Amino acid sequence: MILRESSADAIVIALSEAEGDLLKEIFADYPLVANDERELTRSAAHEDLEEDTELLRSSIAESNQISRRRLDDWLNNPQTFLKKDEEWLLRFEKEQLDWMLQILNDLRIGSWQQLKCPSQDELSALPLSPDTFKPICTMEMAGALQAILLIRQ
Amino acid sequence: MPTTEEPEVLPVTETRTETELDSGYLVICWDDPVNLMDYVTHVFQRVFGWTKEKAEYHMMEVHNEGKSLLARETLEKAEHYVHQLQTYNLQATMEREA
Repeated sequence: MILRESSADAIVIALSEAEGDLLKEIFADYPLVANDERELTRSAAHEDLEEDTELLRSSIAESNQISRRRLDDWLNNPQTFLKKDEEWLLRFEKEQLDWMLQILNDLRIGSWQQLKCPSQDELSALPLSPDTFKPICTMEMAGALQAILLIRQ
Repeated sequence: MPTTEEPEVLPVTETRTETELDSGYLVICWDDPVNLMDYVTHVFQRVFGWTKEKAEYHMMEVHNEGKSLLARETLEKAEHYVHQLQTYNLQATMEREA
């Protein structure tokens, strides 16, 4: 993963063929965060907020659908997601950064949930297995991309 | 000389604005081991329109203290902020002020 270009309008990142293929596979899983576990409050005294909590979940589900459509458009646009020779070129316009960061973060958090929400120490000590391989790869890949976009935005 | 009727004097009742009545909800962001620090700063700037310095201050508070009080609002506004923050997958909730 290499930063190829960073201007006032856009960021271009180059991925190897394998990285690009992996990213496509990772993006296919969006959205990943478990929506039915969201809570509006941590206080047990707020049972009267049950309806509001349902509203929160449905509103985020709707927002995720919009992001899914944006992501599909981005993936299907040769101007933004292009395989050229033996690499993938990813182009992020500045106005696309915010929702792309949201998507990448959803994939990281959802993968972390799949790993049973380990602490940082537990995470770095997790053994690779058929169950942990994909969530760990997703966390690494999405995190690396997020970090570049956050620094260069 | 014309006279005017004496106006009816109503008893004084205590009145408070809607904001004073309802602004008892705290918007809190909780620490988690997975959100990137720069991402949390980015989200605070987007959702609250804060400067980078203020957003970083609250991000560091979440990181060091385990949580940060981001806003004290009416029920409606607090819900709005929690919706926004959770759309970005931050661990944010609203709690009624004691």
